[in-house]
Amino acid sequence: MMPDLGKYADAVMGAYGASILLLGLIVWLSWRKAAQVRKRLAEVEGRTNG
Amino acid sequence: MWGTWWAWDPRLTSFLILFLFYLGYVALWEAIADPDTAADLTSVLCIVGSVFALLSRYAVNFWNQGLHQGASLSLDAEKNVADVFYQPLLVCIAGFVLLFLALVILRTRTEIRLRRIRALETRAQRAQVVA
Repeated sequence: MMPDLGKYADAVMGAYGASILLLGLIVWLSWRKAAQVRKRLAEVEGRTNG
Repeated sequence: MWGTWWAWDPRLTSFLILFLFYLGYVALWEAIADPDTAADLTSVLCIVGSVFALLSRYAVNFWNQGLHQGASLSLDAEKNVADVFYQPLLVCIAGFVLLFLALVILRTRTEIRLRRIRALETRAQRAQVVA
C-alpha cells in the first residue's frame, strides 16, 4: 500500500505532517471565528429586537 | 527528475511568484480598514494576479526545460501515473475540493453574519441619534 520512501521518508512524512497541521489550523481558525460571529450576532439581534 | 529542494525550474519559480502574489493580496486586504474599499481594490489585484495562476499552470508547457514532469492527469487515455499514485491522487483531489467548498461556505456565512452585525449596530446608533 505505502511505497518505500527510502532515504526520503523523513522529508516526505514531515511534509505530510506539516500540511496536515496547517490544514487543521486553517479549519480550526475558520470554525472558531464562525462560532464567535454566530454568538455575537445572536447577542446583537437579541439587543436590537428586544 | 527531482532530487533537489530548489531549482529555478519554470513551475517552481512561477509558483513562487504566485505565492508572493497571494501574500501581497492578503496584506492589501488586511491593510485597508474599510471592507468595501478593501474588496474593490483586492478584486482588481485578483484579476491582474489571475495571469500568474495561468502562467504557473502552463509553465511546464511554455518552458519545456524544467525539472517538473508533464500533466499527471489528461484526457488522452495515455497512462501518465502508476496506480499506486493514481488512486490516492484522485482521493486527494476529491478531498481538497470538498474541503475548499466547506471552507468557502463557512467563511461566506461568517462574512454575511458580520455584515448583518454591522448593519444592525449602525441602525441602532442612528435610531439613538434620532431619538
